Amino acid sequence: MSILWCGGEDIDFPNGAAVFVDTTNANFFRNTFSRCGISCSTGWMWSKPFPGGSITSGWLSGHVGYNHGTGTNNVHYFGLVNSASGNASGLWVGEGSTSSQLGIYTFNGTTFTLLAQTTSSPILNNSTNQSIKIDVQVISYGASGTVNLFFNGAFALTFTGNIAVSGVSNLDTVAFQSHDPAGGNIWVSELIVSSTDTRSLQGLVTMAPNGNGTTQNWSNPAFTNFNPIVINDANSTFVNTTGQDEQATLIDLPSGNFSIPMVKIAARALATSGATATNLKLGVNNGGTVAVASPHALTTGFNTVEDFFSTDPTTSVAWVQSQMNGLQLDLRSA
Amino acid sequence: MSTGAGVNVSKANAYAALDKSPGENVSKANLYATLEKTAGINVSKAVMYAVVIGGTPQIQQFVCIT
Repeated sequence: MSILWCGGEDIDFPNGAAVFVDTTNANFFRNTFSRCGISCSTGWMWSKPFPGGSITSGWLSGHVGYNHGTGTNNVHYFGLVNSASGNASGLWVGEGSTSSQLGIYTFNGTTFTLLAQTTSSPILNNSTNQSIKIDVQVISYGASGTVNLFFNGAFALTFTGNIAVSGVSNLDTVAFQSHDPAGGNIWVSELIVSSTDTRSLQGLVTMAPNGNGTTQNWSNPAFTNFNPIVINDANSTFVNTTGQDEQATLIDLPSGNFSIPMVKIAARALATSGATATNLKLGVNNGGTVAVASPHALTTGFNTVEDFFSTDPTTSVAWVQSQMNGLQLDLRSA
Repeated sequence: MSTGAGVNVSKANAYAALDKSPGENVSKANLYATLEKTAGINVSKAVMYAVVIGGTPQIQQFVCIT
């Protein structure tokens, strides 16, 4: 299992239109895994590029919560796109031109083109709040490629042919829209990109700060200053000395037996012009041992920096489930 | 003067905190010092994610060789 990227909150999509966040209706996201579902009222948003580079084959998994009322169509949930396009061009999945059917789309920055859609009896139930899992497999993105779409783990739709978009030669970013033109609600969460089959993944757990950590060397140190569900740049923790740690305890994993192939830490941060501390390192405190990744040079405006850890940086071996709930997030100035 | 990054500060309060009057020069260093070190790194949101495989209690399978 090689995880290429993951995310599920506004911090993970710093590019494009404004994110709308729903925290109130747990039917639209799995509240033992996520704090919220996200959506756009217009436009679309996209992530930072995958740290391992672009792909032409791979998998994208995500959860979609919705309530369309009378049903709708031509809805675009999320996609694998190209960051250089600057407009979320690439391959998307969502609902087709027929109500209650799933569809596979290309998007060229202006127009969504429906490549294929399901034709069975309504695959989506629009009458009640729903939360579904979508897995998308892309094989050989280009003029002769294949897209397979799975609905709650079951095969639903395939398209083979020209899946290329003009000017887009590969895919390196996740985008989402999830706007219901009929006025219903659509929210996405737990987005994961992998080089291998995502159907076996249980999901993406948001382990947000939920308490003050062992070391709090920054100003405005309480965890509540940097754990909002919705980005709030009016409140932050801050420091202007290098080598200072700021730590917070984290929300536990759900109950069950898990293996953890990837951990991601993301921070929305800036460094003021002329500051002494200008870089940020992200890591964890595992039982008193602290390890951080390479420094990120920060910009003078708030932006997202993120690090991916396929192993525990404090031990250099696979993450151990029994240690996960005791981890603390570590921010270190540099 | 208790502030964090992004907190609004009125011009009158800022001049008072800096012990300056309107029209006097204020250096960036003095301003940041007065604003209690908002100069430097500011983090407004941080989160950790874990990708998980498995979920429900898994049945362990054993093979007995006799």
